[in-house]
Amino acid sequence: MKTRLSVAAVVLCASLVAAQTSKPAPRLSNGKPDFTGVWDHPRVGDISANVKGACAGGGRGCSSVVTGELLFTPAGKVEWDKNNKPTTYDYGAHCQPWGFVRAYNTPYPHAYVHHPDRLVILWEQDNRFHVVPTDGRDLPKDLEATWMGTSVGRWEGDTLVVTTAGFNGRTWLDTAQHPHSDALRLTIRMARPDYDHMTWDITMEDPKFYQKPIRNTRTFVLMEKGQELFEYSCSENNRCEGGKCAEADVQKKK
Amino acid sequence: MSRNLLAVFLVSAGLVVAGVRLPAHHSEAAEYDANKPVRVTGVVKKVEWTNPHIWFYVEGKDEVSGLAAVWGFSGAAPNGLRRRGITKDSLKVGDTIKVQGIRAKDGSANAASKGVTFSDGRQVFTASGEAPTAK
Repeated sequence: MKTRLSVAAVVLCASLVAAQTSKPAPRLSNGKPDFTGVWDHPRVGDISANVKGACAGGGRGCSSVVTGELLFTPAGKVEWDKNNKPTTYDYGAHCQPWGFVRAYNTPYPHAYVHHPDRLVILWEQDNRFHVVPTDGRDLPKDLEATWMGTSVGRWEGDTLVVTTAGFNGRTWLDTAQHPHSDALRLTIRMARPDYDHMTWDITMEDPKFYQKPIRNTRTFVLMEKGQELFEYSCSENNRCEGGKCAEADVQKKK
Repeated sequence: MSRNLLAVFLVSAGLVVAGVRLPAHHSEAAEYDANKPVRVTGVVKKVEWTNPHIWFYVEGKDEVSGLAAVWGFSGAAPNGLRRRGITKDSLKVGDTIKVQGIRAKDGSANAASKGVTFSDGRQVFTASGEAPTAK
């Protein structure tokens, strides 16, 4: 209860501060808040640790507040013990998709392109995209297992609730290597309390690997006008892929 | 370089000097050994302003291991450096620089750079911001 109150206090304070300094959020043609923009997010290396102040793209005011603790199931503990070694193979270093949660944790911003019937997520990391239909459809009953999952969104007042499932279980929740299984289900409550801020409240449920849901309440900050996402090509010059560095031409013995 | 920008670099470099350990960025903890610091002073032979990390090559001797070679240093992605005001023109072939970093685990003359000091004393933080630092 104490933690829940703390999170509520943080969100309330952020909203009050934001309300004093920022214009109202823009609206879509259906009257709902428009999330379109390039957003700076907190750099979250570990979903079980709070982050305050710094934004990945250099701005200030981003944060991530953790509720609850990570409690592994026996199967989750086995996977964690396998991952939690310095020599662990990192699929991300081999240019495979980082996964939905980890893509939001990176040192690079993300953007939204918002229409009344869909939210398009653009991550600078790996220049990856994801479409969230918001036209009232449900998640398909027979989901394909994918790296980034399948999402649908529905409005609760001015909060967009995005549900994502159908993962292949081959990604991690963070660079600290917290695993997840194919049973992972994400519920994200997204709101834009004012022009310059978004709250992104994610609950991660994975009954195969975790005894209880894990929650992060994050604040995103709108990047300055003119800031755009950059190109990112993971495989362009990945010289030390797999821990073995390729020799460059200037390093070859003459 | 503006004074503010330089201050940001100096603070960042200070974090490195102070040995603040930040979460690892993808496989850097697997590819580089935080227990093997590298300090090379030499001349820049080549700069690759590429993803997912920039690389620059410095001909010189590592103060720690004594190995003289053309050392390859990785840095942050061009995107992250650009947002810090560091562009491909910030580091030029022929510059004399001092680089500190941590050595590749495969034993080759490669390392993850943490900071660069130019001959005029300017310090630039080249790491990705999440990579492990030398212990």
